[in-house]
Amino acid sequence: MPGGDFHPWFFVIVAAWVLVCGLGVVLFRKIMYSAVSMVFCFLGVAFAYALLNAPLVAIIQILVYVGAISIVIIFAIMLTEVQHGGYDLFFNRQTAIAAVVALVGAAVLAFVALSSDIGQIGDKSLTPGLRQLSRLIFDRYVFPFELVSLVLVAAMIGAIVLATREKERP
Amino acid sequence: MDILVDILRAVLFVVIAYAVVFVAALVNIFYERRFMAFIGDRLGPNRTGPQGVLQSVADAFKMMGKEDFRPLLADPVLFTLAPVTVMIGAVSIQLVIPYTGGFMATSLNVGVIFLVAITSFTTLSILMGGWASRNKYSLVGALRAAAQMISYEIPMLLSLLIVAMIVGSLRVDVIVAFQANYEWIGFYAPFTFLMFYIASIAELNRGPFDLPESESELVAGYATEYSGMRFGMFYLNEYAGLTIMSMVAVTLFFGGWMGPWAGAIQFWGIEWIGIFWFLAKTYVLVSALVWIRFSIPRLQVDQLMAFAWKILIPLGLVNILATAAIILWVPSWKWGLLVFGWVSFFAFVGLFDPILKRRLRKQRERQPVVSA
Repeated sequence: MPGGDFHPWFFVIVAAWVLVCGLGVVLFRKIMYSAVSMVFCFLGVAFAYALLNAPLVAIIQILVYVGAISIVIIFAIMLTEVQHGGYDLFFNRQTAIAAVVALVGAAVLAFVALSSDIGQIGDKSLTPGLRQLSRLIFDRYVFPFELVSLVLVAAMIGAIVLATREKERP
Repeated sequence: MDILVDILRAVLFVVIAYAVVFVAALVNIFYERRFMAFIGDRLGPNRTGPQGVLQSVADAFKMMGKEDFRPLLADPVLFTLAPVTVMIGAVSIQLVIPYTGGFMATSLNVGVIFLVAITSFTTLSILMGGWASRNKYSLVGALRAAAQMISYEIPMLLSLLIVAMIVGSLRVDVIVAFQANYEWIGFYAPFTFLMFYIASIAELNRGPFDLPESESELVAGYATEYSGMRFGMFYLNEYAGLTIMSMVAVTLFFGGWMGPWAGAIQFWGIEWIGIFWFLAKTYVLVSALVWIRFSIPRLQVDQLMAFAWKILIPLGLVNILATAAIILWVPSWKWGLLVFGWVSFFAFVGLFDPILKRRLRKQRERQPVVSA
């Protein structure tokens, strides 16, 4: 049952899944493998949300990240990849810097999580219902919400402008 | 002990869901072949077993016995992973479908969004399979499939939103309960159902939207390099999808498992006659899907995309606005919806063909067809 009490082992399994898939994204030499393991990483995060009593966030995670974003990324890889050679990860030279940044980020996150008082996992009082959430999004914070979508539209128009070739003159 | 009960429930669900998928696929393959033969004034497969009912079983065994073949240059991991993961959508979508009263895996409070979200897995598997095959036909087929499935997810979501607005809940069992006493949402919102049905045909990659595997252009699309049971997984998923999508449509638009005497026989807390009504309604819609496939010729890619982005999505947005206005401001909103739904339904059905023909004629006048 999503939203119910769950056995701590479930969380261990999900956390291990996310970690393994995350490592896969970084360590695989083939960029397509990285992309696919990123999809499974997103899926694991969705499982974690479901365990933490937030089914809406879990489903939206699947809908947006698994269903849309990763498919667009895989699309881009499929269309740009070269048959021989250029199929390896080309930004692997920054491993050392990336490791340091990731470690610092993880330390900050762990510090914040341990020092703050955010309550128990799966506490029902913490997770707002669908109705409260939609009231917040579409009533109180409707202006910032629409502003965010404006940013997306701007990005899309920019991408289309950059991508279209100029038409030949007749 | 509690965790054991949970695990047992999960195992039971997986067994039932996979059984539904496999049985539905085998039944649908046979049913479609006989129906197609009937439409084409032929007999169809009628030799294996009485009236040929065992034909699918024989085909399944033949498929399992075939050589497990993989092209030399294909990517070994993803080539295998694609057919393994292709059924995730068809199986887990059944988590939120009530087969009958008291027979439902879980009542998710975001059930309707779950229905759409989980189908995106199929897209991913098809992309993986098409890419891993290292074949241009497969790649083009996979790209077409992904573009089509992403595009038609939007009108599908728009039409499901209207169902949620009418009922006031995203729970699938609440939506079914709302339709008791034959107040089917399909009657209130026939245009919304039409939109959902068109989008679901496109999601299933079936004719007239079967461009991803159009034989005359792409050999077999994303499945070109697959054979044996790996191809079988794609094939089974596609045919099980007929039943699964129709189940979703019946649940959301035609009262789900409800019907006369649905609760007449009850034991173990399950209303058994409901299953019969659920399957009967489902197979009415499956028959319609088969009929449509063999009646309407295949679209072109540009027509397909234009239909989703220029016709279905704007109409869906207008439909949402109008439905919201009716629910908010019309005092007896159910009657308002009924009138609006049927007017828009007949307007769409009646005007679609003349407008399309007029536009095509104008296009031809501007650019006359040059024959080679």
